[in-house]
Amino acid sequence: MLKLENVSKSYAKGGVRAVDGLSLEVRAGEVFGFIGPNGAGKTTTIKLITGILSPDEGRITVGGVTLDDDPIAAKRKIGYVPDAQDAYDRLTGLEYLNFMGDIYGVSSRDRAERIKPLAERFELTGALNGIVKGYSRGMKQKLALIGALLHDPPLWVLDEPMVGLDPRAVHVIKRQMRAHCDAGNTVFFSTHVLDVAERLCDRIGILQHGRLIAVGTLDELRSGETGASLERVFLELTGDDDDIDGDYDE
Amino acid sequence: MTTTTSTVTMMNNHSPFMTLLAMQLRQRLGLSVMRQRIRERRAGLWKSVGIGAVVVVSMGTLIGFYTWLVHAFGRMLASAGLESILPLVGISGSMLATLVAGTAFLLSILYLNRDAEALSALPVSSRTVFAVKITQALLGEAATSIPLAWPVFIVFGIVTKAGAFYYVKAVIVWLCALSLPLMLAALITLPLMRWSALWRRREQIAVVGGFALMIAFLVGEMWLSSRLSAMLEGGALLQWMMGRVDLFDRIAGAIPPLWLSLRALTGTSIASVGYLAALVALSAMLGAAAMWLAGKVYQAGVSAQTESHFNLKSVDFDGRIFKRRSPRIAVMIREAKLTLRTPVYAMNIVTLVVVFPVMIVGMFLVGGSTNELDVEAMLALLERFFYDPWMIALLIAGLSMILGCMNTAASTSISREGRMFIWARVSPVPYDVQAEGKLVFALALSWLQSLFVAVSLGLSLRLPTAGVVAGFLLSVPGVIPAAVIQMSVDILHPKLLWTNPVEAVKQNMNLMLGMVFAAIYSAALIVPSAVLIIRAGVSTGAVYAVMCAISVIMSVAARMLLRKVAREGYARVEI
Repeated sequence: MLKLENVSKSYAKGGVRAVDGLSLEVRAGEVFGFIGPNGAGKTTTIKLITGILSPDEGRITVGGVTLDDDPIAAKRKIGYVPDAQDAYDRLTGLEYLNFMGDIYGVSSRDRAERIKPLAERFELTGALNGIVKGYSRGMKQKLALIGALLHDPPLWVLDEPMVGLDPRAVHVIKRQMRAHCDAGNTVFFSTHVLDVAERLCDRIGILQHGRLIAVGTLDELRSGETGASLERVFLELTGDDDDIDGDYDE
Repeated sequence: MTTTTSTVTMMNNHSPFMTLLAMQLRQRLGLSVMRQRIRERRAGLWKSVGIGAVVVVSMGTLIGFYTWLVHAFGRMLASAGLESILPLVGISGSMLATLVAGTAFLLSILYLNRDAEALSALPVSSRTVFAVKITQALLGEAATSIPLAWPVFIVFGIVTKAGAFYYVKAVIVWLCALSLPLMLAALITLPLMRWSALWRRREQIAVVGGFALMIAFLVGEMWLSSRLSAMLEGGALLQWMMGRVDLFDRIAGAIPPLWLSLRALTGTSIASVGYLAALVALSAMLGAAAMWLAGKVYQAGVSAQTESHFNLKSVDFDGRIFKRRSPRIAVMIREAKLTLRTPVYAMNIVTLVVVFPVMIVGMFLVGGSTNELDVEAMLALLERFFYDPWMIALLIAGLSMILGCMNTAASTSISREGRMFIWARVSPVPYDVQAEGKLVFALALSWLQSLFVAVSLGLSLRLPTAGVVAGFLLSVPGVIPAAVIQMSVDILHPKLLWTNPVEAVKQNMNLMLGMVFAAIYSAALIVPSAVLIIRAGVSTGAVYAVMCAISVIMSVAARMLLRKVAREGYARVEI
């Protein structure tokens, strides 16, 4: 469903290499978690996949369509939820969803059928007539999630989707992600919550300094280390050994 | 470590006012962003320098031409002993411009900045925050006023062979001429925003109130002008020219601060120092009153603006609420909603649509600088020179095209997106279609303005309906290329990194660049038409037909240009 081939991206005219020769394949029906320390290049990778940034090198394919060859067709296959609450503050929730529906060519009937259950699931029905500026951080996140699912995309790309959500909403979104994949679609998301990645993901990729340093199922990442948590694996792969010695209470 | 310590020590030595002011100026002028860009994008630096140079050269040329005109006019006035008209124009122009433009600016930086919440949380009094904001507004208006007012002051100094003391007085008078209207605007806006805070739909009230305030200022200025012209009737001007009546005393009855300013600036005796002291005292009194009022009501007004009216009425999912539109129309509607609902945008963009027609109607109907006799004289002039409907049509279309060069909706269309530009890149809608949606919105404002101008001119000057209609019809394709030029400038060099929407619409170089390029295009069409009619004696009907054909062809070409620029420009922008 998603294929990155030797993708690189630099900022500051080559001064900072945010993504460095990244190659990755995410299969249909898979929840893929992308983890890494701050500044590892997770958001840049997601921006490259969604077309916000253009890669300096490499090729990105979404559902068999190369982003470079047919960006419009590739973007139609993606539902994107950004990291910050980049929402149109002066529109009402309903206006925002209608705008997304117009942009993605969703019919009036499909909008009516999809928005209602999603809004109810995320407990946003009572707020859709309100201006987004008045929403809490979590409500904005929920609205962005509904907007990204409106056109029923085969690939759902989420940047830190749990940030700002209450436990109930986190639960709902995890179920939604799993349900989306069970329907044959794909979820690609970045997170700092290792516990979520551990429980939810079919496969996990660990990024550091723009390079994919490990990828696989949790068992594969543990590489024989019986019972090691993802946190321990992550710390071992991304930090100095000194950082992971001892327990929290020491 | 040493650097950090010294920086902290240095910062600690400043008063909260100075620290806040320095921070605000750094943020607004984008010095930190500029430094970072220079560090990061050395390769692209020359492009930015080139664009800056074009702006400087364009502005320099305009200011140079304006200064030359003022100088020629000043020498002519001096030969007739009427040189005092120069400071009269300079000071009253500064006061009026600050009152009209400064009010919108003040409203936006006082109440609608994104930093309002952060500043409220600081252990700094609301009076200090207010003082910082109003100083910021004063500096902003001063920067705008320098190229307009100072050529006048300098020319007056030259023609009267004034000494150094005159220039010292000029600086003080100029600062007072800027601060007085700002303080007046603050004294009006502070209670207005406090009052609006009591209402649920406070943002709409702020937008409507801001419009009403600006129109009231314009009408007020026209009323004062009409009083002035009434006072000068009956040979008063002749008597003044003959030295029998003092013009300044006549003005005093209408606008006392202007009278004080003129007395202070043009007087040579010690009495002028007294007038100067009185002017400074008046400014200080208004400033003190504004500070006192700010201490009472500013914080409440600011807090209210950070809250939003929330409609808790549940959605009725009956299908009728989901009306499908084309992406182009969806983008246009989104632009319209965001512009009308964001007070800073509404006051800076939509204002232009209303202000000029109001000025025209005010001038001829409410009673501005011209009276009934003037209208009659103008009609006689129209009958003599603009003898047919085609000429009137060309006049209206020309005026619309000139006003179209100030289409801020077009020249800031991409910059206004800010961080939200990511959605333009994510959307599965071709970039040229998105740009066209934005263009349609910008054009809708221009066309609305043309319609208002045509109708208000038609009604005020009792012009033949056929000419008014033909003028509006010609302006429809006429304003398209200018809007496209302005939009293209913004697409190629958008200002997306801002923390305050004011930066996107007011502190944006694209505004000036777009205006200059659009003005060059409009002049290239209007001037040859005028030459053909006046010098070559070509029939106005024929010129109208040619203008129609050229405008339609250029509009089609402009659309093609926009599509190309959007396809290439959008793809280059990364945020």
